[in-house]
Amino acid sequence: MTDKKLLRKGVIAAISSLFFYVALPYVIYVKYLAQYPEFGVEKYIDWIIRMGIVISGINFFKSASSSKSVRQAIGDLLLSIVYLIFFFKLFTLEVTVNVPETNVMVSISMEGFIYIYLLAALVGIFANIVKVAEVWASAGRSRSL
Amino acid sequence: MQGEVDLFREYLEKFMYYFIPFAEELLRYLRENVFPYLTEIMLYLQDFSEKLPNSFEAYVMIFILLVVLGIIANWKFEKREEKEKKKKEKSKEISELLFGVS
Repeated sequence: MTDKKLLRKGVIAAISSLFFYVALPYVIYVKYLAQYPEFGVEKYIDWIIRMGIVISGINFFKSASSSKSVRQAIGDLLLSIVYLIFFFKLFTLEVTVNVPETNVMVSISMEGFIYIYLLAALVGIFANIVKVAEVWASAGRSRSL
Repeated sequence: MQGEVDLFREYLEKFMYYFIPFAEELLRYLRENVFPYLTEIMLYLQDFSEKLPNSFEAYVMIFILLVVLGIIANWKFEKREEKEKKKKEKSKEISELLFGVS
């Protein structure tokens, strides 16, 4: 028997993250940014949508499990790893804006942020590994996963 | 209202006055002592992110896999947890009964 309440929670989490990471960026891009190809934001939107699909899958996995369980801790860990890859990819992408009338080319890169974010993300991943071990140990004591 | 805003601004300015030099010092320390160790991780991540698939199908497959895994885990473990809960409740009831008798 599946726990329908938890599954419903998982479906809501997955749908909401699909909306925020996939549908919303796509709509914003199609409606407002696609008419300015010189901004070159397709790369950003593509990566937001790709990682958004994975994030919504992990959110489903995490939310469909009971609280303080190993599955939820693993979901948190996976989420922190995927967020690290997601932001790493976003920060290392370089967008070149070309304005043909004025003959001006602007290159935007957010690589300056990456080290400080990397440090924070690594600390977060380490904390999540500790959390998985902690929950695993307590689950072993009470014989439930 | 204006007085409260002014007070908030005053506190914010005081906070910034003490915080910004501290933050600059911290950033300088991190740049000198911590960030050089992160370059290897950066290079590894760079290699890894270049190897990531560019097609949407791969990500959709991962999503489907995670959803199926979530449903299977829910089906398998919630059943066990439910049984354990029932067991615990039963043992609680028995202990309460015994306590009442004694």
